Amino acid sequence: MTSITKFHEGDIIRIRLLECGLGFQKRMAELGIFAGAEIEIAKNDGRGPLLVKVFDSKIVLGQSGAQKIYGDKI
Amino acid sequence: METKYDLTVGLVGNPNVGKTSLFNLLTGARQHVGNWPGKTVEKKEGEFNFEGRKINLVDLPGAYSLSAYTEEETVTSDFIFKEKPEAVVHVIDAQNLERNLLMTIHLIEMGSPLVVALNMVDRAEAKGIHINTAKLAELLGVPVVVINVRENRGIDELLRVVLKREARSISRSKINYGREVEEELEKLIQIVSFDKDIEKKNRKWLCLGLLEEDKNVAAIFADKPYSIELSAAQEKSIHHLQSVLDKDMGAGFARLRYGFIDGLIKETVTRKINKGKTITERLDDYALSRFWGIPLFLFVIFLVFQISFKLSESASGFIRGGFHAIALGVTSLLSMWGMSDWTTSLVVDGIIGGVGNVLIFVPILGMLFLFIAILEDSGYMARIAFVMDRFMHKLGLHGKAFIPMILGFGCNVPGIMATRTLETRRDRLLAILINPFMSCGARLPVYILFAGIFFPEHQGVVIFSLYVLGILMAIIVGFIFRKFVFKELSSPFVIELPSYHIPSFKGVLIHAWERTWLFIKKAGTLILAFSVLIWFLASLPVGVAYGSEASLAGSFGRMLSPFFAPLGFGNWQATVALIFGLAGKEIIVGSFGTLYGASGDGSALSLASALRQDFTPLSSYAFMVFVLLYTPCIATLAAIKKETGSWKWTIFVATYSVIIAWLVAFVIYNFGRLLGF
Repeated sequence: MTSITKFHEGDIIRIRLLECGLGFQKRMAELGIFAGAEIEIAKNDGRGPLLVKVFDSKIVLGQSGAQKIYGDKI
Repeated sequence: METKYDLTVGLVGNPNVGKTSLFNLLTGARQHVGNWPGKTVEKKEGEFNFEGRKINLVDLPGAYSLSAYTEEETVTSDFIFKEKPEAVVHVIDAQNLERNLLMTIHLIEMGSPLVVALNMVDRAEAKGIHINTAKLAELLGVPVVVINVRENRGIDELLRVVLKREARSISRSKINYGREVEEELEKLIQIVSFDKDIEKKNRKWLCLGLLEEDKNVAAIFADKPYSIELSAAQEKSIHHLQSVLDKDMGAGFARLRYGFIDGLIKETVTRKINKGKTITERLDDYALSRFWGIPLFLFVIFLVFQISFKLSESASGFIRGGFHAIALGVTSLLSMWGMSDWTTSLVVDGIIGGVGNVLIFVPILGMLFLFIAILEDSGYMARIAFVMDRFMHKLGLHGKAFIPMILGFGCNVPGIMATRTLETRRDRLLAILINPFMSCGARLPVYILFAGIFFPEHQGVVIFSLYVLGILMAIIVGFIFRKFVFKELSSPFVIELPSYHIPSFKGVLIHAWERTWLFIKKAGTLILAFSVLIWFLASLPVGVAYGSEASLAGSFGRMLSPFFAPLGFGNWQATVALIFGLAGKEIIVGSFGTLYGASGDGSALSLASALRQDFTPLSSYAFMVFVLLYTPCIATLAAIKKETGSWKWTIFVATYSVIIAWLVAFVIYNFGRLLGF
């Protein structure tokens, strides 16, 4: 289980854990980012925000938020 | 108010689904913009007639769900629950059905009289997504109408369904949350069911809200006589569910709902996998690139400012000329009526001049707002937030807070109003506090005047350096505030990147006009009042020459000018101009004209040579720096008061900026002198 900031463009990830407060968890869950969900890393420059593909939309996640999301590569 | 319409319809949906375009299409110019009571969220209402019925349409803010995480969500759920609209139209983007349906589920659970409007089906088809709408309607238990807002198709059909639904059948489809959750829900429903004020159809979702620890729902039950019993049961249920299901109930419920949606999608959507990149992806290869992203953004914003300033120049000139003509006409009219010079001057210089000063800035603001609306509507604004996120971290904010900063370069008033898009109060306050350092359009005339006289060879460089200095100050001040005042962390940066599309002409115009009008209304009244005040200061006591040393303004200037002497501009005219500049920084230019004109010894000294006597190039630069940084104009302060809701912060901004301006101008002037300038 690794923070999603460590994965690369094109990797498909199964989310395992969100290590953050209730508010952020809820908000992420509404967008489709919750433990058990699948997301695709659409862009990761290794710095700055990440771009993830959730369902059919692209979501920008700030570096600090993304660091709190853990998952495994499928 | 309610009796004026045959029915009220609420328009809900995720951001960027075409909801506002539909609203504009239906209501056109008949819109009222206000605020939701006690909220900083904009309330938009409009009315229109359809087949003999008068419909009041309410555009609810874009949101992803109806829980009480953001003000937008609270507003939407409150509207549906408390104001009970006759129908709720949920606009859905067919390209992203899963995520959109989450809100549909919420709306169905709330028992709202729902009609789903499926938009952008053509684009979904192009992506290989085919939706069986009949099946979707059947499974959801609500009508689903395919619309195309852009091409104005399916809208009449939608409205007919909305009108027909006055029978208001409410969806009977239910999500089964599984035995454990349903059992706990039942326990809570038992307690609530004795309450006559809670309608039967609302019981389940209210109790779900209790399990999800929704703040809004908690507030509904807070002063009920059985609230203690209820919250004890709620706590017990949550505790139980946490032990059997998940540590976090909020995410747990989202997962259960997405599970239900997954089933829906399997039965209604067929997909052909489209290999190859979409246009949006191809554009984003550049727009989001770590190499091209920022240069591209700088180029775009450079174009926006260039075009805005160029196009608005002649309009501003036209307005200026118009007011000049009006002033001349009124002067001769008043003298014909035998009015005293004093009264004539009050009307002509105070009132007409004051109004003119505001209106001259309307073209440039209107143009800037127009371009900003185009950038927003096309989807590029979200990309700007992405590429500027790293830079904004230096200020302790995230990418989204960059948009108010760009607006600030046009005018700080809309810049400060745009901080509403930020989620937490801490982010909003920080963004508001640094916004006045973005050098607004009104400061430019001052730079042009001084740089033109003292740095004719390097005018561009000097002006550019002031813009950069403003940004640097924002970074430094942001850093200080973050270290000492706002110690908590910024809210996480999350935005959706919408697909690019060509902005709708009508929508962009309406949006730009709304913001411009807001400026005219808010700033207009204030600047006008202040201009009249300035006129009195410059004209009293009766009999003195306008703005002369003997006037009230002149004596203030004399009194305060020693304060500015260490900065290199201790002449009383500069002080008076700075005081007048509080009404609007562009007024500084006009004030110099009046002040030197009136104080001259009769010889026709041009403004340039008068200024050359009192300023050196170095002190003129220090003066420009002071103008950049000192107390923002009254209109900006009013916006700060409105957005922070606090006099304390408003006064704080007014004072700390003078201190910073003084210190920086002092350092520049004295350091420059040491270097021999």
